[in-house]
Amino acid sequence: MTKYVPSRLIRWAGYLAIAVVIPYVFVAPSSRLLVCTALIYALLAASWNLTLGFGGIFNFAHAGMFGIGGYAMAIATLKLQWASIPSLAFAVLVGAVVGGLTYLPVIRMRGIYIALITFVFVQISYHLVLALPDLTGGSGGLPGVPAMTIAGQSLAQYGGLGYLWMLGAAVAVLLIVLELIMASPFGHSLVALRDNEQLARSRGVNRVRQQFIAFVISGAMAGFTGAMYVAYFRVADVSLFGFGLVTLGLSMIFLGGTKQIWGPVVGAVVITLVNDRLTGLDAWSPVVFAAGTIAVLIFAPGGISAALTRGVAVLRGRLTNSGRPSTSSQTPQRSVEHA
Amino acid sequence: MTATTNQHVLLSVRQACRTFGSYRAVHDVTFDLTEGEVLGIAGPNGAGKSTLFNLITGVPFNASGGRIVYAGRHIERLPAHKIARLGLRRTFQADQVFPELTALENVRLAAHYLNGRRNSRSTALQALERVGLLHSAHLRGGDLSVLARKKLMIAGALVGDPKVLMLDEPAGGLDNDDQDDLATLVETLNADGTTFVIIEHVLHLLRRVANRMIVMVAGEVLVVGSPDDVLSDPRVIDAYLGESNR
Ligand SMILES: Nc1ncnc2c1ncn2[C@@H]1O[C@H](COP(=O)(O)OP(=O)(O)O)[C@@H](O)[C@H]1O
Ligand SMILES: [Mg+2]
Repeated sequence: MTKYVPSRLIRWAGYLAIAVVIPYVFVAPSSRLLVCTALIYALLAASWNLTLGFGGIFNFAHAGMFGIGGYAMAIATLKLQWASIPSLAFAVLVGAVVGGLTYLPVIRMRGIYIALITFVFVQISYHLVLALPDLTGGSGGLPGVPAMTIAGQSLAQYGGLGYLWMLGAAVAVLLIVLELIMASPFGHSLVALRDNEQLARSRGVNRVRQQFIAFVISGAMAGFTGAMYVAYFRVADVSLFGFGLVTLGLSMIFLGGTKQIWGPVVGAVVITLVNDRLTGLDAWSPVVFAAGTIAVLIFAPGGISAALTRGVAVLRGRLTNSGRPSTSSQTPQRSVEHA
Repeated sequence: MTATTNQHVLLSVRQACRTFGSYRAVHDVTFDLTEGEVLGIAGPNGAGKSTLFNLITGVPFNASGGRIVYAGRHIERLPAHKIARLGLRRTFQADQVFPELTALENVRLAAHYLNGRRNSRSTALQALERVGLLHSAHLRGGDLSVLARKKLMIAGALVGDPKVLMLDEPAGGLDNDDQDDLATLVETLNADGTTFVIIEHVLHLLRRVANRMIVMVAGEVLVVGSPDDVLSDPRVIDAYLGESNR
């Protein structure tokens, strides 16, 4: 274990360093908009992967909790006139509570039934928004959400510098938190339940308890992400619960790959960039997009992150083989000489 | 039975039943497990042996009838994780592990949730050492050999010194040397005080390690007795050995 700690700390410092540097690399307003969008999607996809990829639970509710977090942010700032940080905390709390509640109806369910019920949850949220115009602004949404301010400084000033830092730091911290979770017995229990539920239960794992906690955590993360989305784009509307966001999030996760914690972040960045290039294609862009995702899934199952991990492993193998031969590669050579 | 009545009964199964629709997979099974013994269970495929393990350990289901008392406690309604935490542990047929977790993580997970979060790592390392897998602690479960995976499954069940280990066909799929290795492990753990129930098709292994044997046929207990008596019983030869003579 001790051997891994330094490399892990270096990697974490690297995440934070990238987050600090990003605003100086991307200076033009249009590229900053693109980067912020990519970072928000990175938050959405990476946190969604906790239940979807590591938990193996077809949890569509994550998109719903994103939307609910966004509305919580808009309502707290606009209707309750709360400051940014309490509003953000409120959105996280609401996301966590709703996350826990959405697990209740699917407690006894597996696989596709969970997908159906949680998807219906997103649909219900969509229609609730329209049915409660006094609270949600109905189809007009809640525009005019104030820019986020921290310690009296608006994140929107200096060309959105604060947002870039905040979102970059949030992605870095999220990756670190997810890594800690997935290295803990709790994280292992989610993987264990996914891969062999009976064995996991007979090793003392209480499935309902662990998955409930996972939904609460996932809800809190989605609530945070939704709140950041609304604070950045300054509006909450019903598209937060739209089908487009669900498919976008899922393509990011599967394109990036579910096995690595950072996989969905890569997926989010790639898809946001590609999406931006494709805007010229108008109605064709979703088609090109879907086709591309399917192609990746066919030719690189496990997504970009799995392909990258494999590539690095192959390179390392080559290096060790040519440089200093490893014991495993010596053994066959020796047996050939003796033969 | 008379010889064992004054010894400590750890597990007492009375008229245990399990039906699937109208099909009676296990019917009216009654037996006692005495502290320190190795009880073998044999019987043809589909006899209900694994189902018996399932309903005792609550995974994936409880009994549909009957009483099961473990260490003085009724467990027939308890969920699987609670039964396991009481110290009644099992393995599964074949070689089931969590393939993406390392051997240490496989066992540490069990230590954490069965034995408490304190010292889960050292508890896990201890269990790995007892089954002889310490050197593979950092290999992924999916990368281990069949024998190592079977031992890993035992190590996961072994954390924090359970009273009873129930092994479902531990020798299945192993060659003779590995079967021997596994029998030695059972003998060692038994000598250290662990009580065993072992489902096994490899009858010479049961003959070697078991003190007592049950043969099940069609969901019911056909014969109970010493391995030698049971294996020479004409009813057993008829029902079981006739089908797959080893
Ligand atoms: N979950 C289940 N649903 C329906 N039938 C089952 C289930 N589990 C076991 N059975 C049936 O119960 C019988 C006994 O199975 P099992 O206990 O696995 O046999 P054994 O372990 O002795 O080979 C088999 O006929 C099997 O098909
Ligand atoms: Mg069986």
